[in-house]
Amino acid sequence: MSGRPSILIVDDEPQIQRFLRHSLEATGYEVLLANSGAAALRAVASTPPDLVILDLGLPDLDGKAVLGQLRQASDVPVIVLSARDEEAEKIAALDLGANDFVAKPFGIGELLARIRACLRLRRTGGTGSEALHLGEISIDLAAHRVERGGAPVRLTPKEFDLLVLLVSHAGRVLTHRQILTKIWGPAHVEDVAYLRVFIGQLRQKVESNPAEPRLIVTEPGVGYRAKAEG
Amino acid sequence: MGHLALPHKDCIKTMDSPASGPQKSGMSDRPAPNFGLPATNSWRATPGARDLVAAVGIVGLAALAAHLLRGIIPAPSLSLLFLVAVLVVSVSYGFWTGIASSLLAFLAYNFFFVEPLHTLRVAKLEDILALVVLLAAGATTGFLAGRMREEADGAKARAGMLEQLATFTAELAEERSEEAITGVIIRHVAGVDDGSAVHLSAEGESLVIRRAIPPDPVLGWPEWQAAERAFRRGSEEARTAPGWSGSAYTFVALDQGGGVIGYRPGTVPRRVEGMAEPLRRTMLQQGQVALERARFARNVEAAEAKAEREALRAALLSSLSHDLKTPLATILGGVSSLRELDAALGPAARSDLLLAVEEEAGRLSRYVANLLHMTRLKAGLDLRLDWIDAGDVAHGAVVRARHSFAGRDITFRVPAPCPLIHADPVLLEQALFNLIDNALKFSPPATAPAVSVEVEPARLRITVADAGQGIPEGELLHVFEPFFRGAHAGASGTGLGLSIARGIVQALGGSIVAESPASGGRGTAMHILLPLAARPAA
Repeated sequence: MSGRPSILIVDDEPQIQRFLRHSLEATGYEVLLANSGAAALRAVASTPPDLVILDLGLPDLDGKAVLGQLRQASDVPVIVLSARDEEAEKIAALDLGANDFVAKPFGIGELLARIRACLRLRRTGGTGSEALHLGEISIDLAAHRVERGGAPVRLTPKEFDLLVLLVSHAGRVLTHRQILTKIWGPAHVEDVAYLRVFIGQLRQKVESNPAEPRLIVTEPGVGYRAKAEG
Repeated sequence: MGHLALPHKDCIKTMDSPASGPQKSGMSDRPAPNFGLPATNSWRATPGARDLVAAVGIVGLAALAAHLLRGIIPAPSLSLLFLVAVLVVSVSYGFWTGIASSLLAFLAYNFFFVEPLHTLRVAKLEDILALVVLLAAGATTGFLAGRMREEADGAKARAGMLEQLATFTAELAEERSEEAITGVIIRHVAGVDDGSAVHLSAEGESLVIRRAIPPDPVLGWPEWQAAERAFRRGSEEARTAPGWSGSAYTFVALDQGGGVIGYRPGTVPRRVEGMAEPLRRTMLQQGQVALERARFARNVEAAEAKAEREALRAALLSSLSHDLKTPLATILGGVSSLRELDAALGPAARSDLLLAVEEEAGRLSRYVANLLHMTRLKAGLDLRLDWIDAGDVAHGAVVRARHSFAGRDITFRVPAPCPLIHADPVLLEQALFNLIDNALKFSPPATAPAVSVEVEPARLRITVADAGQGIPEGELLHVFEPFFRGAHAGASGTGLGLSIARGIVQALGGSIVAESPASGGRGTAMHILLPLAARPAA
């Protein structure tokens, strides 16, 4: 792998391709282009990229179908582009193995933040280290200890697991289903209300202003995301 | 006297019931109540066997009494006993039985009590007189008593008919849809005398049964033909007389292609015999009027809806041309300036132009999103209901608004913990964003709109308050109408945001209220009120 990470852009709109290519190249990425699902699958097979940006509305194949086939062969990070109010599409793509989404129209800053989060997670390989950090929160995984600005924070075991799950995927969205499955088990995938109560409690303990959470943010209708800044 | 001996019931059936044959099953599930009069004879009706037996019995009793009193009272006075018997029979059993009993009394008196005894010969003039009186008294009393009874029965029957007509009219008045009205007509037309009624209407080329009392009527070929004729000609096809081949139903066409209604009389009590048909006629006429009223109301509604659509379309077009062109003009102008005047522009000017382009593009994007929301609302929202933290959703809207209107502050207050509500988070956020957007547009830049969430008994109140100049009282009612712009709305309002907010909140089972001046005497407060439902145990 060369020094510059490569990104495959799968989109049939020339203007979007153009805008993304210039911006991503200017940011320092190597850019590959595909304007159909079939071309994308061929490209991934021949020259595996470090990340894929996939538009869900493609002319030949449904974006989700591309995602499904892609996931059979590769675990390359995938960010999907979707329309703003198509929550069902977003959730379906995330549950199919997409790593994150960006709603169109978007500013370049938002996309770059998602790309960085995905590439960072891939490099670190998720939770490998002993300690995690998010803003002024630090988590000691071995000792099960959480501190905010040096002061200890008392969390229940479930709250701790929830925080660790979110922070270890910092910058990436996790769907309700993914969180519920990981923390409470597959039998509880529908208990979204339960999850909301726990998120509320967790915010009371870790956010400096729980009414305006900055660390654990809500993706309406989709799930939660730990902010990656810092 | 042979036919007089027929059983009473049979007389009625053969005389006025063409329906007597195949209509056995219908009797079990009779529909509308009829007036339940007992089937009694009219005064002229032929007496039954039981009436005659009773007459013989009563006259016999009189004869026995006269026999026992013979010798105690003078013989001519004995005829008075027979007179009493004749009166009793006449009053009880009507005219003909009265006549029969007076004849009988005449014979019995003559035979047993008039000299020469045990013959039918009469010797004395005064006896003849007594006999004639007996006969005349029987006839007169029977006639008068019968008349009175007939009038009483008739009055009772008419009252019953009127009552049924009144019930019918009242039920008609309650119904709005043509279908329901037809249902009422069918039920009552059949209910006049426990008959049958059907409503047929066209489906493609042929008529089909829409509704029937009793259910599942058996219509033969003649009935279908008659119904078809009535329908095609828009006229009436009368049923054929019983005993003749042809339709057993009368079919009457409804106006405006409403189909046809057919009916067949049931077993009619004799004394309402003449009234059932006029009653059905009246019902059908009133039914037609009610159907016309319903059609008229429907047409008016359709016309109003059409006018509203036209107004909406006109407003949409003017909004499209204005709200799409303005940001596009800024974007195109800004970008072409940057490309063509690059060297001449200073860094500050360049950055300002770029900011203008970005802001206008954002505005365009929000406008398009609103148009899409509007379309979704019109097409019927696909709600994705879930248990959501309303404070969290409100915060999302606040964050989005701060992002869209850089440089404006928004204060936010929410109770902790905030109760969960059952709603669609994305739509609720959109509704709230539109309210905040509106508040930011219509308040001075230096002021900060306030968003707050409050828990009230059984409901949640989300308020967006601004320190703007408020909404004039006359406009307060209209602010939620699509494409409505206030008198001082200026250039930035699209007139879509608030109507979308209302559409969403109503779809979520809540309500939205504009308050101006808000508490504090100035500005505007918009309140979203959502029901707090009990959450199932997790």
